[in-house]
Formats: sequence, C-alpha cells, structure tokens
Amino acid sequence: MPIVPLHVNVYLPPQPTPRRCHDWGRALGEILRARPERIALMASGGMSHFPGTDRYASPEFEYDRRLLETLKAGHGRELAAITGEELDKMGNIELRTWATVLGAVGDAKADVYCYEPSWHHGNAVVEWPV
Amino acid sequence: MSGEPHYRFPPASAYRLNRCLFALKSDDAFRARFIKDAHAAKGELGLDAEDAAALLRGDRDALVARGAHPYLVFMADLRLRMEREPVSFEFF
Repeated sequence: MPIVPLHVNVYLPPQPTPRRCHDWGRALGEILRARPERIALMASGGMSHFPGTDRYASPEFEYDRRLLETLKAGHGRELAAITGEELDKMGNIELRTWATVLGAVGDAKADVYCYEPSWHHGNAVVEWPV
Repeated sequence: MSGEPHYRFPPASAYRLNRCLFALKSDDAFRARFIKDAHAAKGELGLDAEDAAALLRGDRDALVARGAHPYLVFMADLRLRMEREPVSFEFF
C-alpha cells in the first residue's frame, strides 16, 4: 500500500496555523480519494510537550487524553479551531501533523490503540480507517 | 516563559551556534569529531568563545539565551548522550 508521510514545520516560526494544516489535509484527501488505490496517510509527532525547554518534565497529559476522546468521537475538526498559541501553551505544537491528517479523514472516528505517558511524552497510536 | 512562545525564530547572530547544534544532531561524522575533540570540532564552525563555552558546558539555558533553538539544543544533547551512553536511548 502506498504511504504518504506528512511533514509539517512545527518548530520554526512562522509555523502554519492548525486551520491551514487542516485545509491542506482536506485538499490532499480530495486528491488521494480520486485515485483508484488504497493509500495510507502517516502523521507522526504530536504529544512531545516542550522538548528543549524548562517545561519538558511537566507534560500536559490531561490535555492529550481530552484530545484523544475528541478524536474517538469523530470531532477531529475541533483541532483545526485551536490556535497555534494554545498548542504552544500545551506543548503540543507538533499536533499540526495531526490537524493535517484530520483534514483528510474528515469526521471519521479515531481508533485509539494506546496512550502511554512517559516522564515527558505522551505516546499514542491512532488510526482513522476510512 | 509565560506569555512568550517556547520556540522563537533564532536571531541571525546565533547562526553559527544553531548550525553547530544541527550538525551535532544530524551529521554523524561531525558528532564523532566533537566527541573525540570538542575544542577542535567547534573551531570548524567558527563559534565565538561564549557560544563555545556554553556548548561545552551543555548549558541549555545559556545556549537558548544566546539564540539557540531549544529543539536543536535538545536533539544535539540527546544524540551526544546516545552516542556516549547508548543506554540513554531507553529513557527517551
């Protein structure tokens, strides 16, 4: 199966807004749906929480868990409405990659296979079967 | 850091410092030279004395205050630790 890895600038300003990421993902989804084969979109990164800063040992795990519940309910488009400032505040600036794939999968409900916090990261594996 | 974004665009004055951190993160040969002889390796990239001192101390706050991008500081340090103490990867 062809895999399309998504790369988004998340660490070097000016980063794209989550809205722009979502819009790009939606456009990408339209292009890929026009193709005959099944294709996997892969969005890595996300819940890394402040690497390289003095907040690295203070991850916002509850924010992650609330977000995963939102995605399980099929409300992923809410991520597009989050501002870049909020992502930065919660240490989740890498979620721009998730916002991108969410644009492509629309309102599909996420299968959350796991969420494992470490002392600084939340590690999740999520699939949107569409 | 309240009110300020955690990741800012680095100032041009920190170009050499960030280039060095990027090389430590991504350039295996440079990282190996740095581990073997840090003083000689930092000289390759023309770091000034204060940048070099902060780098050699591994002083994150000083590096960031001098314009280093926090993510590069983090990744450079991680790659150095992984190479010096391979077991550190287990705690990443």
